[in-house]
Amino acid sequence: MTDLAINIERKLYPTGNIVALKDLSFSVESGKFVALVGPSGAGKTTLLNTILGLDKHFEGDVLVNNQSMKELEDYPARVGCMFQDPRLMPWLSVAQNLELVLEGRSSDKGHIRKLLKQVELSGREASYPDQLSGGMQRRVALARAFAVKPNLLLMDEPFLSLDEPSAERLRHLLYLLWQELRPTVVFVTHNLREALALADEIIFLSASPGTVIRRFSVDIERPRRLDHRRQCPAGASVA
Amino acid sequence: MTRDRWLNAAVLAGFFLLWQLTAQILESPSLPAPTTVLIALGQQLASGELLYHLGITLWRVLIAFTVSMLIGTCLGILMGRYRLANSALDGLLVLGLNTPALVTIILCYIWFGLVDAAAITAVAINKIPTVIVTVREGARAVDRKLLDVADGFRIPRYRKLLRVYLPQLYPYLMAAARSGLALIWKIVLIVELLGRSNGVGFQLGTYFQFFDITNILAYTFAFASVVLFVEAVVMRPIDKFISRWRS
Repeated sequence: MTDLAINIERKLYPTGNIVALKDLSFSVESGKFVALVGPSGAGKTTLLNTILGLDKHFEGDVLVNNQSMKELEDYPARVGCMFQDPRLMPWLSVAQNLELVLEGRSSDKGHIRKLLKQVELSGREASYPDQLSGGMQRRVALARAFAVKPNLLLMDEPFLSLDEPSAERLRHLLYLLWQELRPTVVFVTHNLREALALADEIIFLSASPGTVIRRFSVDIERPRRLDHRRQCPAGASVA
Repeated sequence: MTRDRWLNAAVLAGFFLLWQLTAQILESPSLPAPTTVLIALGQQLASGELLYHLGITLWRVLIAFTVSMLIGTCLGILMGRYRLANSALDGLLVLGLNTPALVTIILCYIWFGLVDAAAITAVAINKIPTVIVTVREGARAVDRKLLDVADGFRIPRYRKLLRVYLPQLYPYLMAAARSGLALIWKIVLIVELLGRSNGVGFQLGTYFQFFDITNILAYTFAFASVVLFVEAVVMRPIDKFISRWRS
């Protein structure tokens, strides 16, 4: 189980003196699915990279299970991640892309087979990413994110630029996988409907410099499906 | 056999036929016929002399190639990855790229004596800068986003190096190896000609003293065959293996 506490006093973009994030703090309870929503340029990706530990140049702290990830050599959680693009290694097959993030144990093969079946990619273990469609590549990336059995999952607009039926299918797969493991999820999106369909709570960020301007609990029973006629999940109402 | 291969074989056969006919018409010792050269090659093989000298040359090529690739790759990655290293070493690199091979060879022989170590050092010094330039470009082109995936998933360093970083460099390493081998073949012969008492270069120098064009061409045949063999048996299969994922 993984609790997350973010307290970023100031974070500058690496190029120049432009402030990306300012006085940004929030916490996420273990096992919760939180969506970060904000306008383009609000620093959502920067924030996610900071939580992921890819960027440690900021004032403040990120606590994972009450341990500062800045001070620790080893990240205090099993992390899975998914980026805006699939970022699969093109020279590795589908199965090898999943093996890459695992320990290389013999039991991993069964685990990989099961995951690929869950994301409806059975029989494509030996395919290379270039031989897959965009939607299939995202499904591999989704399987890779869950391959490590994460207790913290960080997702940066993972279904961006997909057609709506493909994105809907991936959201459903994500929901099923999340239900099974229940990792703490931070899901960045600029799509409010997507956030409403997936998250327990939505955190709204302001335009640059990004800071939390509102938190909203989504008390809608799962599974939720986007109702395209109503522009939001059936039963959703903004408090 | 594909049409391209037939065409390639036909052009080669046409070249040798033309050479044979010209040699028969001219009947000059300056242009022996390919059949004469093949007979000389057979005799050299039977005596064991050619194999001995060819073996020595191949050994020098192998050592010089390995040393050049190892040092050149390390420095290329360093300069491609770190701007400070690039700024510090770029002047030396330009100097190395533009220093004539002959100067390096002569200096190495004067400083270290007429020994194999000097010969191999001279070849490596000539080759290392070109490896650096190619690998540096590769290191600059490495996709940072893929490295972020490795860091995000906390993949151990050695696995990140072997499965994420180096595969991005393979095309550049392959290009460096191919051009490197082509250059090293040539420089090793000059090095042997100038300061060694064995090897193909030394033999070519000796036959040159006697204007023995038949044996010069016999050695050239043997050497070219080895180069083609290495390309077909080593370089192409490696190239095919590392680019197997490309659709």
